[in-house]
Amino acid sequence: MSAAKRAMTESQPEPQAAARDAVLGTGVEGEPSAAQADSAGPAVTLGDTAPETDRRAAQANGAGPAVTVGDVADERNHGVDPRVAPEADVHGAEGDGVGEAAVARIAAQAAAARDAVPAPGAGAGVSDARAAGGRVPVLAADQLRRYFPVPRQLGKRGPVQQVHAVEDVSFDVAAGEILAVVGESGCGKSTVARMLAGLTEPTVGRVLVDGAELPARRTPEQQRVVQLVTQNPRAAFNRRRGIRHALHQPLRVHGLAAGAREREAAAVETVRRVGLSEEHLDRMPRDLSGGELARLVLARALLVGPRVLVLDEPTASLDASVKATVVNLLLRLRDELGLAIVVITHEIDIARRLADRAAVMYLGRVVELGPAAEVLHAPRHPYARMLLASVPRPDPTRTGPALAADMAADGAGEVPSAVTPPSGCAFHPRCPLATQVCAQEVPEERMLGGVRVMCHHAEDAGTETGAETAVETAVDGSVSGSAAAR
Amino acid sequence: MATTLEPGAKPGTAAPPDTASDPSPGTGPNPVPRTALLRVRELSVTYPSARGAVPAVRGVSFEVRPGEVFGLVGESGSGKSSVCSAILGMLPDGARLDAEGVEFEGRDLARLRERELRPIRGRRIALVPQQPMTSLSPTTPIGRQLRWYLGERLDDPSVRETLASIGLAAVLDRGRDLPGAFSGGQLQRLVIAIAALAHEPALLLADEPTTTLDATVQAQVLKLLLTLREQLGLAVLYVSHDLAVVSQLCDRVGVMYGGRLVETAPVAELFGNPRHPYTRALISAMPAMTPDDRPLRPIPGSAEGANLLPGCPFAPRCAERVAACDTAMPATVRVGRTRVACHRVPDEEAK
Repeated sequence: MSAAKRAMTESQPEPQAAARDAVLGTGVEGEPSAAQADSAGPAVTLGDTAPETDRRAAQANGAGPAVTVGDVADERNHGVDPRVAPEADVHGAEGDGVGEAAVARIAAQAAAARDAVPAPGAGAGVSDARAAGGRVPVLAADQLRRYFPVPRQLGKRGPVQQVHAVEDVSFDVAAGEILAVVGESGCGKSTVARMLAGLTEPTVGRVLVDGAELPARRTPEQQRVVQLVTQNPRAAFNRRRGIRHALHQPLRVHGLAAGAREREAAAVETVRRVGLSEEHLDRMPRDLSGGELARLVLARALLVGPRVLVLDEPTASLDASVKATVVNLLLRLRDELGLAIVVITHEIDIARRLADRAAVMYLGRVVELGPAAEVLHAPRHPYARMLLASVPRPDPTRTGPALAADMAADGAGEVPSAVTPPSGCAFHPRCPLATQVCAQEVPEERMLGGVRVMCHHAEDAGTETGAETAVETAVDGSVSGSAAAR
Repeated sequence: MATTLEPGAKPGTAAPPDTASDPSPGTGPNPVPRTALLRVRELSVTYPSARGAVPAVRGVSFEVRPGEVFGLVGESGSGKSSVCSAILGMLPDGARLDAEGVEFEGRDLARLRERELRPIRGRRIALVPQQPMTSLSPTTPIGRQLRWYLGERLDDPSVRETLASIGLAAVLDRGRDLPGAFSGGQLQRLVIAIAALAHEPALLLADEPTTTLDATVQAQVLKLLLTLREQLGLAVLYVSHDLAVVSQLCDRVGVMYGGRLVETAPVAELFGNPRHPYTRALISAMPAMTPDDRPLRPIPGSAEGANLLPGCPFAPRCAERVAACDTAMPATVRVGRTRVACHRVPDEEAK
């Protein structure tokens, strides 16, 4: 029936979808270049739906050859398309699952565009790390992009739209270091976390560990390297099984311990490491507090011996006093185990406590990246400033309505749609510093001091003090409270 | 449609918290400029469970004055949301409510029947829920839903102006869109606007309205609450676990622990001079209140079972506990403008 539907769409003015599907049905296996040629429509659209369509076709199991993602990747390795070939080294030849000529083409364009720009610190996270000096990155995100197709509303026609959830994100984390990724909901930070953990396939881009690519489809061994801890600890446990089962399970699945005794020993050791006792193993999830569960989720992630922990909102659902426990635990684990930790959070004050380095994301891009002491305390990017300004700060000398009345928060505006992000710098409609160039050109990433900033005007803001205060007043006046500016 | 503004709910009479002397319920002979809008006296809520009755709220007394933002803070399980439900008469079946009185505009809500509560609930006391999405119909265009609640007042230019002034112009313009097409912050502001504008209530109960929101959006919502307070003279009972938010928004704050209200104070007093050990511990556990080079100080132990203790609920975790703390709940005493329930506090003040 899907084939019939496609046949219908072919006659309708929906060039990409129909053409793409037609290609899938006939030509992909033999010549990915065909797919590429057909992608000549709206390039953005095609670039990423194409693999999606592959998979759908494969699942549909009827129309044409069942092309699995792996197959496509293989084809690319055979270098059918000369235009894809130069991309192979950038993109990794291990069959990263993103294989699709059109996607590769986008990546190639991106790479070319970047190469043309001799901006310091721009581009791959690895070079960023070198620039930072001395740090040896364990985990690196290299130009990650992820687009999601938007389901078309019933009865509506037109091209399939894309949510640009993550748009060219690069950073890295060293061992014994915590990187905080902060931003508003919808900025793509959770998608980044999922891509790091291999749960979501990047549309373009790579995840590297020790300089070697970790494909999105990971072997158990590769899975163990990066462990994701998801948001709600209570939802992370099987409520019908005890904690012991939950902690034995990863060892069992990964075959990491010979026999129950060894598993038990590992479980007990890990439970102690997170500050709980072995009697917690006998408990049921419902009998435990949120803070205890948060620690046990961490323990479960630690059991398989990861080198990188990715934590998605580790403290979001916890009470204030319990947050402090988790923060202290993470700091201890970082030091004791030398873990590289990525913390995704929207809580700036938690990020300030945890992070060695910080990345601020806005609409899928990292707009500022650098040492936490600078990024989370004296940011250069206007968005980062606005974000920090909106954090409520208890100040015994100045609390209550007087302070709150200062918050001219209405000026903060709305986060624009990620389906149709604003032109140029995505922040320009809300930005107090915006000029014409901001609406036209996506700013390059520039190094200002030790901080990588993506802003046309950040330089004036960061370096000269006079300009800085000018910015600050601008931010205060039109965007958000003086509460946070000081 | 009840659109009258009650006396006391005059626009612009935004609570002067620091000028009003703090009258304690029960001992209120001192001249109070205006009677409290809501006065909760010795409120207790008990839930049934397989292992016997669970006291969730125990002897809580506080009051909210017209135009005042009163914050109720506490960790999860401290009973703050049960207080909210009790005031609205929306406790689940089987829950038991005992109170000397829950007085609101001269009526005792605790003694009213469901039928008598209806004209009050939503009309005189409005509720802002935690999740905006679950209180709007996902399959009805937003404009039509606004029409449901606001009726012909939606055509009133001043109402539209109010909506626009709180950043909802986009919602008015896109009335044919479904709620899913708007951001969480827009929807939460919309729900607050509906709650505040549909019937011009005297009291707004806000139960963790910003917990699911980002900092920037949260700032917008807090700003909106303050704007509405200014424009409509609303009183707000703001329930939250976030001390930082409460510190920015509220005039006075009550701190709950284990079903008890352990401390009530004007916000500057609470942060500047916290009396109860739990309040102190809570404040020092806040990331923003700890120097950067010092580790955070979590409160040792857990709040589990605190609501069952015969004595002070905080005693097992308290660094300053004495023998009396385990056996008897301390009486609430007044220290300055603070009301605090701690065995140690009178001692300190006597010195």
